[in-house]
Amino acid sequence: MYQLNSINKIYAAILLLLILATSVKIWKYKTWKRYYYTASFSSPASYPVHVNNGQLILEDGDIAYVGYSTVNDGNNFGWGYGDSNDPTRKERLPVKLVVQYASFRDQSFYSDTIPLPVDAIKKAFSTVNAKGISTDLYQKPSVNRLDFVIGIANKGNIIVWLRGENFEETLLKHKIAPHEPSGDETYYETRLTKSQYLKRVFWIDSAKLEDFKAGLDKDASYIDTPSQFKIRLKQKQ
Amino acid sequence: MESPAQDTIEIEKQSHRSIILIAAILIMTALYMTCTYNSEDEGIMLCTLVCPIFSILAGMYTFTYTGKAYAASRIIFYISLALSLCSIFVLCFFIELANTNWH
Repeated sequence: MYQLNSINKIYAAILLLLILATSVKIWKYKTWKRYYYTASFSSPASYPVHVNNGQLILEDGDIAYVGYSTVNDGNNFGWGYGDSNDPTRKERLPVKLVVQYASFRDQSFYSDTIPLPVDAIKKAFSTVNAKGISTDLYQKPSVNRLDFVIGIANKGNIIVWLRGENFEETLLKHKIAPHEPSGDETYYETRLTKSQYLKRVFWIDSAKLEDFKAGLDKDASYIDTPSQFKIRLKQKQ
Repeated sequence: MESPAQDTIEIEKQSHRSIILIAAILIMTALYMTCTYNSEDEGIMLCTLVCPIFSILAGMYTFTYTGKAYAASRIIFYISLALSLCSIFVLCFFIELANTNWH
């Protein structure tokens, strides 16, 4: 056994502490349970919505934001197409979806926290290397990811898809009841009333307003409409 | 009673162990910092911390092993001290720069 003098004992103690801290850090981070994925919203062009809050609550309690710029800007590329932001880092898988939005055609507000089917998500991610979408990372080798797309259909219906390169899985369908907005749900630069808020966040041109008045897509049920992604997938086969 | 020569040999052995331990601590520190994902900003922060950590370790070494044989360690310590002061100063400067309001 080596005899250590007092300064070497201090060095050894620091080294032990560092080894312990590193193991704890690796154990808490759990790289082996992290994956690359993106999450974004989609809404039909005939039913504009404005998302106020969209988050995924992850397994470790962290939060990932769901991209809503496409939906809020009114750039609807087709039902079921979300934003295409590349992920920059691995994240734990989501367990809950938090969504809060206003619908223009209903003139009403929807808000809910929806539990996600964790087992189905885990199962899909176990094949991410074979079925995922290849993604280039900045100054790193490319990785495979999956995309969560949250469709906001009409009448307060929410549908969650999980997609890879050549597959689409419907994770859940959920209906939210409309409610009167309270607190920060009508916050846009400052606190507004319900009608002020709806006027402020929606920019609908007059031609579209006419279409809406005439009852465009009045009887549509987007929750049961296959996504454009699925339609293209079928055409390819 | 140990002779003075034996004493010197023992101190030399201990000083070699110190160097090995310092190297191990530095490697472990690097591992601790990089074992999980860091953003670019966090990476810069951590790079800046390496020099001061080395200075503290080298300082402990220098003030423990005094004598002519350890002159080199003193030089290394003062260089690292200067470098770490520089790196801390540069970091503070950039933080201050980022905090400035640009009108």
